[in-house]
Amino acid sequence: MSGGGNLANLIVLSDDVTLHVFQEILKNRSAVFKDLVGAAARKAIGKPTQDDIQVEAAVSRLKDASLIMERSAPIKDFNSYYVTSAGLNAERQLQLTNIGSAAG
Amino acid sequence: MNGAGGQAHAEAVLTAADVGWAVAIAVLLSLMVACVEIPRKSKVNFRACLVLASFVYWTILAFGNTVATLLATTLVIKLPASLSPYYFLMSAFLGVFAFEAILKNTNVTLFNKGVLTIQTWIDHASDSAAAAAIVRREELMHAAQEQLVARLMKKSHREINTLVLNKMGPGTVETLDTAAAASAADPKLYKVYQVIMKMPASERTALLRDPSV
Repeated sequence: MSGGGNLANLIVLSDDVTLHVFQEILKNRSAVFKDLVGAAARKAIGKPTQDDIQVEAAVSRLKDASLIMERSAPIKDFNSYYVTSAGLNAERQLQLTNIGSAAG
Repeated sequence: MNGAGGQAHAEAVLTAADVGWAVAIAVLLSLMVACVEIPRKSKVNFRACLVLASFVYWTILAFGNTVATLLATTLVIKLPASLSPYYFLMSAFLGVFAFEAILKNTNVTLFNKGVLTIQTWIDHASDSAAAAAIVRREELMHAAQEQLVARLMKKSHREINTLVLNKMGPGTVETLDTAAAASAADPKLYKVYQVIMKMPASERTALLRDPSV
């Protein structure tokens, strides 16, 4: 991944909901939409009635950044999202950023 | 391994056979490292890790470790001659486990411009291998899910409700019916998917093997 790619990913992940959704997917390397909405609700990131809309927007941003891929199911709630090679690289960059922030 | 086992320090040079053994051990250790690293990073089972990208990662790792092992052979001969029978083993050990320390800051340059450190190449190869393993796991899981969905959809709605009750406890049927209605989805299909998603992989496999399901 180029430096520009890293920067673009960090910009995408600067949004709280997107970062939280990405971290949820990273936990097991994949997650279904319903569980992502549930996790967002538990974390109470956005307005409860907008959880699914916010999560949908977040996965869309992550897909556009090639950090995750989608496997569609007949019911949207069971669409699954899994992390890509670029996503794993972004995870390492995030860890480095977190270490850097903690040290700073 | 060293034919000249007890010879003097100055003559304690590794034979071609020793170097061969050292490289072979380094390649095997690289395989072990790859077998640990890819499942750890991808969080998938070993079976799903058997993909082409994993072999590419192993090859890159083995190449780097082989070069480091060959470099290490020039260092181990400086050790006491009494250790000469084990030079090949020490070379491989140093080559594999000191590889990162030795080459971490070695930059690959083209036209005086840094391209990537060797460590970055290895990280990229390991990311690709882990990502390919994740895709493989998704494919295997998807195939198993589709088979189970097809089988369970043949059961009556009442049987599915009973299954949901048994697997997920009281009150879940109503919750899932409400969720299906909110998504304008088929409630039976919704419940079947939910039950399958909540099953551990081992239970899914057992269910697929059960001809009565």
